[in-house]
Amino acid sequence: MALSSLSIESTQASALLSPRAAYTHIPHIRARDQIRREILELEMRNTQTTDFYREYTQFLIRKFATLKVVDNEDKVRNLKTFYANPERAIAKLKEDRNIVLPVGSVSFDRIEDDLVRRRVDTSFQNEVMWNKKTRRAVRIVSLPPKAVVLSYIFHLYTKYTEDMAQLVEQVELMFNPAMDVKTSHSNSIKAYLGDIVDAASLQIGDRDDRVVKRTIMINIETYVPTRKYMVTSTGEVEKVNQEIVLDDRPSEPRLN
Amino acid sequence: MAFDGEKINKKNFRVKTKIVGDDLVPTESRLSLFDLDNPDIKLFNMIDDELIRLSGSELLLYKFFLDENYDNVYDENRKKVISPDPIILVAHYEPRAIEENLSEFGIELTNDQVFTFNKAYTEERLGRPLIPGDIIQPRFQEQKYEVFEVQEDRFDVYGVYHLVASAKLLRDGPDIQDIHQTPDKEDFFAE
Repeated sequence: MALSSLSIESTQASALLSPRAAYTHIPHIRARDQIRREILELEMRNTQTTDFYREYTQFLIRKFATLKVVDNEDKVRNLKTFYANPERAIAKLKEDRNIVLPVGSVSFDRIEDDLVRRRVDTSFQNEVMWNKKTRRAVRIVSLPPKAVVLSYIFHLYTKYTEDMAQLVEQVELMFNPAMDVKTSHSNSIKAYLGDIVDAASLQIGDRDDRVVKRTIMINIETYVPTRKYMVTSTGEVEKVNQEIVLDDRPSEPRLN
Repeated sequence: MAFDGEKINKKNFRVKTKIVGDDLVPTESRLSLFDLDNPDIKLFNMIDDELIRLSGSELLLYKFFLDENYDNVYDENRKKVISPDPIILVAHYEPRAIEENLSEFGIELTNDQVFTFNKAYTEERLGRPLIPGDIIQPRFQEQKYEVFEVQEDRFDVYGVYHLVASAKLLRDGPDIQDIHQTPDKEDFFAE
């Protein structure tokens, strides 16, 4: 689903109203407003998670684990990469993983509203998808995903400056100018490189040794996904059951 | 730059006294203290164990079963498997008042605690070392603590006698908070 290619249209949805909706039906209310109202009611009771943070974190960890360092004898080592703020009981399981450098870790930094891509609160997203199980097209509605800029920090820690130079060079080329982030919600989200800052001190004491560390800011221009609902043939708006297998080639989403 | 041994020597050594060394291995001497088979280690351990048993206090330890079913993205375990059957141990600890700092979250109870165990005794009772994630409930207090760090301590004559467990108030959900089961001794929590 290409969320970045969403287009805002003002077409009126032609959904039938459900019996529940008809009961609370206000004369002359537009169908799309009624659907939106029902979605908002369902949202209050829905506890399904979208794994928004998890998917981006996992993607970055896996992507940075492909970085490599070549030593003086042309031996190649992959970068060990993990989440930067583990629970201590679990970190103890892997306490030897950062003895051999280089290592990298990924941490959250911030999330901000993207004002340019912000949507109005009267819109909802309307898609038609193919249900493989019932072999019927189904209509999927949801509130519009929220446009945000999600920021991560990638921490690099090496023993030698040469190792660091190789890694930073590869990171720069990963974002040329952007890196495509693939999640279950989208495969065209763009991540951009922010500042690359040397986190090591140049003032080293008499009995201390240098450390070679850098922090790399990564800004992902993405959308917080919303939960999907199905409009049934009788006009009911329902939660999408897990048993329904939606085709992985969905239609172009449309904002109503 | 060419190697200049004379300059390096001048830089590293500020005195002119020459000390002559030899390459003998000193640990072969009968007087050497470095002897990992030294019977004194067992003696020291017995004394340490007895001291802790005599002057320590009883506590319940709920074992945390460490497995691979944790969240491998965030490296955390939100569904810890804790043994409902506690093991009674004896340890030194200094009960302290629970601090009640008022923060943006309301009254925040904090009471980090350090428990000192005899290593050999504890590992014999548990069948394994003490690990982060284990839950401790002292008999003196009904408060539960979660161990977050375990370090070895006391290295007299190159033995290891103590395990020092740093613990904090248990903040997991009710399924772990309510693991109260009947301990080995029926009267453990009796007044």
